[in-house]
Amino acid sequence: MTHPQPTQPEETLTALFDYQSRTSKYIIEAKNLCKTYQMGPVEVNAVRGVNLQVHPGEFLVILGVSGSGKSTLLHLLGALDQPTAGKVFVEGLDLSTLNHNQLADVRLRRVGFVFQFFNLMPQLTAQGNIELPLKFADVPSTTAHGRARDLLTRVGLGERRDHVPSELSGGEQQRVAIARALANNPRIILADEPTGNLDTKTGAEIITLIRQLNKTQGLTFVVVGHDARLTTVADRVIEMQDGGFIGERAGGGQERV
Amino acid sequence: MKFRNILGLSFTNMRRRKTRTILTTLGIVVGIMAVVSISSLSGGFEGQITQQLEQGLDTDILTVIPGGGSFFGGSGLSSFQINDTLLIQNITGVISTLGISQTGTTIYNETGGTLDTRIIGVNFTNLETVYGHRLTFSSGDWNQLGSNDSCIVGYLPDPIASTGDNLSAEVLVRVGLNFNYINVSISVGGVLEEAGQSGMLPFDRSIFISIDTYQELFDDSTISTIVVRIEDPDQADAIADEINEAFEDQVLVIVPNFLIDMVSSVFNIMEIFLLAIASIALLVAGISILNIMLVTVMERTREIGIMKSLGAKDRTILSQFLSEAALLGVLGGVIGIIVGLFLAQGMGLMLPALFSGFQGGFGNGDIGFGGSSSFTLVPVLAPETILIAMTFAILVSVIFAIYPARKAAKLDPVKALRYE
Repeated sequence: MTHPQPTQPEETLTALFDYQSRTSKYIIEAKNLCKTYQMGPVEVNAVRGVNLQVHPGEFLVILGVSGSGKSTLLHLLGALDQPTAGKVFVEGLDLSTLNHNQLADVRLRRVGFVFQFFNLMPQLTAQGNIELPLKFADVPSTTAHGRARDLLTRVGLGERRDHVPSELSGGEQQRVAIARALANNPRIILADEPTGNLDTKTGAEIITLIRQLNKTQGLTFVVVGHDARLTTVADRVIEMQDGGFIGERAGGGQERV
Repeated sequence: MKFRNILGLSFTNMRRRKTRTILTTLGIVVGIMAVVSISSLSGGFEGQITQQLEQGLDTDILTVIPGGGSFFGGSGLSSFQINDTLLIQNITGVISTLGISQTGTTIYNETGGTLDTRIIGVNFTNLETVYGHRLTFSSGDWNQLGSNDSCIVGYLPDPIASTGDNLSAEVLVRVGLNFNYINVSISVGGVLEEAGQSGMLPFDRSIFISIDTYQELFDDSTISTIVVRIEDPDQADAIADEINEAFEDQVLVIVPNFLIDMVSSVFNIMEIFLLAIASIALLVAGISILNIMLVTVMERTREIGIMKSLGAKDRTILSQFLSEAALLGVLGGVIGIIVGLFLAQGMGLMLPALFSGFQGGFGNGDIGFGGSSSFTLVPVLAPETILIAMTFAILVSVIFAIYPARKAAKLDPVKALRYE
């Protein structure tokens, strides 16, 4: 995968984003997106020609069995992976025009990831995990400290801030991961089976939490998974199979404002 | 990411695996320990010898010995004639000269005691003009030495004679193929206070007799060394050149700093050689860091994926691993310097016992140097050695971490996140 040379210095990237997001109707847009893997001698078409528009503030759920390409799609939307063909626009900006560092900056400031296995840094406390992306963004340490405390309180873990992941339950770890995804104030949260590794009750709590963040903060959520409960809170549900979309319907959530 | 934050995360990571951190630094510790102990022992040894030489170093004294070319050989004169001193005496800037003949010998006195000593033949008048300022008598004085049949006895902790005594002894001399005992009876004109040595002329434990007596006694008409006292120490090199010219380069003139310079250069060569060996230890340490860092990168693949998914740039990951390596270097360097210093102290106490053969000087033949003072070895560590050792510790760690760190930085985030 080759990256285009820097088209603009980093400091103008923010301004460009702001301009694009004002003029763009969709917060995320994918055009004819394809991703092909080489698995040994076999060529795997993980994503084949996906077209997708996500509205600002939307709670979108993409359902699919494992191997349907939904995780790959999520990685493509979040600038974690590069497509073989097609384009992704995040807040109106064409990711294919960005260089390696600028893509890292998109992950840092524009999107937040939440994973099935939490993916917390095992050596850092809950507080430290949330401060990490703030430190990547060169936020002054006192500001970072305060912000991490606020976020932990917001996800209901104010008392557990000094515990390392191994001392936290699965639900608590996922809350920390959600708080970490919010650290640099992105407008988009991409969640990959966020309830996949939790028991029924805890999973339901996490779904409630992210729905609440979606409602109160106006955050855009793209959640992939196969938990049927997700569809009850979603604004829109897309079904995915063998790397392509096979159906789309309105979710059980309230209508988008 | 700010440097302070990178460093903070490095500390956290190193604390997480204490045993591995210690084991990783072990190579650096050994390497730096070797460097520090070698250079501080060598520094102490050199200082010790230089100091001993300096004790006997008179900046206004040149020593001329027969020979030519180099100190270690070459053709030239084998000895001086008695009048050769005159060739030097005429050179501008020379105060006086002293021709010396000396023999290491054993004196057997009447009570059956023996004494290893040197009998040194000198002209007493010249001895006074050259060394009068530095020699003091515990008994007797220069004025009592007028006659040829008196002698000066050098300092001995346990004096064998005092002024006015007759020193009677059997002296063992080699004549042709035979060893002969000669009965000598000579009056003691003076006994010297402790005076150490000057250049290659030892005062203590020596017996000075007049050159005429010496030549008669040992049937030897030559002199082996000419000591020259000059007015201005800064002129030493210029006068040395003139002396060489006067003897058609068939002599070797030892200027005051000659021996010190020689000892220094010998030690420098030795130290470079030993440090080259020590640097192999550092190289091995670097390779072990390379190895362990590669394993660490593999183990932490998932963490690297997490950091990248959170928006860490490649250079952040790179500096993260490099800073951990630098910290390993600092840790290894500090421990290595401390252990090295203790090692040097311990060896400093043990080595003199091994070298005890050196006590009493490095020989007592025609050319003898080294005093009779006992030999102690105190390691000396120069501040710049600490600085160089630390720099090397950090440099080796960082250089060998570049490859694993780059490997970590270049990881594909999606694959890294999937890594189990």
